[in-house]
Amino acid sequence: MNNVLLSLENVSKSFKTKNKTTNVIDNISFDINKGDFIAIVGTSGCGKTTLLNIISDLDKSYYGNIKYNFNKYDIAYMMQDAALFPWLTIKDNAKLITKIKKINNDDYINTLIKRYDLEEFINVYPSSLSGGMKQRVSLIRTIASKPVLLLLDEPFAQLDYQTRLKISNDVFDLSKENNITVIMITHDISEAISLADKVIVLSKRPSRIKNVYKINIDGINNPILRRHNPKFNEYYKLISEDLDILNEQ
Amino acid sequence: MNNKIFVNLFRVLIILVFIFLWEYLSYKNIINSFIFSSPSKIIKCISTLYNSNNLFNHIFITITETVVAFSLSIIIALFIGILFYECNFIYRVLEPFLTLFNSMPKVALGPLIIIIFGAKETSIIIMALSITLILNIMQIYNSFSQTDKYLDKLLTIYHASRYEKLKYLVIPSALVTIVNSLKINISMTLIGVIMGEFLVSKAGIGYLIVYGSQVFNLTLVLTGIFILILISFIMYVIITIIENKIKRSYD
Repeated sequence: MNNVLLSLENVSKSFKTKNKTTNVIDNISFDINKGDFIAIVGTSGCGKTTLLNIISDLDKSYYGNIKYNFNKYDIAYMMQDAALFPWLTIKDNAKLITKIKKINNDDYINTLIKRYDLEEFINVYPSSLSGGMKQRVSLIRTIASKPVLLLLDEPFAQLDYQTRLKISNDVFDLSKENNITVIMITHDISEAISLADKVIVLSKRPSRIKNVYKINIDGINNPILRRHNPKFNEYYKLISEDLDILNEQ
Repeated sequence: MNNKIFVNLFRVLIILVFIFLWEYLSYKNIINSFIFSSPSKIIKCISTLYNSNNLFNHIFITITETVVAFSLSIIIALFIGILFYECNFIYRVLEPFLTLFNSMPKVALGPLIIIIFGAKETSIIIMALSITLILNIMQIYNSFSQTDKYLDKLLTIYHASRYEKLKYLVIPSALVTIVNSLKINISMTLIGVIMGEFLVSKAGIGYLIVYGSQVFNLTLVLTGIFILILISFIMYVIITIIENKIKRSYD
């Protein structure tokens, strides 16, 4: 049975500046299975966001081929910034994408609002919320749109460490509960290992796939517990070496 | 808080000193009271206008013309602003013509407007529109152009239609800037209406000023100017209240 949800075949991308052409992505190919949680790590500027933009269909000017075994309208995207609309209340922000996609998921939105203790804030505007709360509203808005594929562009980067752990845990739980396939790009190797089933390591620009790690930490499926397992450090060491972090410093 | 009270106190003090000096200099004939009139004469003139049931009629006519011209200007500018935002090609083609028209002294159009639209209120409204419309279009278009690209990207990912982008993002995000610019535009509209009333009207504050100058009743002229300042101030306050209400929901 074909379980492949998304397939990238020799995807390349280059930018043309005044006098030269810069290759950003060079012949990247990989398959993603339904329900996978994939983390893509790479150094800053290696083209991770560009890759996500290509997958989300925002950027159509690339070489290669992408096969979507689902409706492209069922892609959701979470960004670094919570990207809430300042003139909409929390409730309206949470419902915005379902309105655009013309689906009714109000009951689920209300359940998630309750689950994350946001009930008392539903009629206030985003400026009254903390960074973590905003990112949770953004998460509710994203999950409520019933995505098949969720793209995460370093969605925890602007949060403090503790909030970061909590929100990443929420993303993990909700993606598993709703059987959503996730592609997350991140700088943070720990985050990648604690959340993902598979970590794809990209090289420096032009980015190529340097290594792919299937993460198996004694069958543990809890992001926080994974961090306390000795295998976590082994993966950390391997990925750090791939990214050449020590030499960069 | 204390600082704010002091600022307001000083403002009131400046006005009181100005009125007192004006009255004193006029009373002592240090300044020509025929030309410069005096606050007491202006109050007397307002009272005469009120007793002859003319005061509110003139004010009502000027305010009505201003509100009609202002509303029309906003509605038309909003439509054209959306058109420019949606079809940037049209904006790029028309932009030099808009700048050219905007830099032209609009009073020069007065005779043409009267011939085309007749010596009636329509001409006054068109005159006010000629002053504010281009300005409004440019301000609305510019605020649309500054829409948050990040939020726009988000709506694009979810395949929001152009109408949905306008409804949920472009117009609401431009609202504060638009309302802010209305504070200037309301005064500009009033200037346009008064210019129009100078040329064609039979009533209104502009008519009072012209009539006063024709019969050398300079107290009537200054009364008209005083009422205009008052109307302009009240309209400014109303728009500031609306602006603050909108801002409060965002902050």
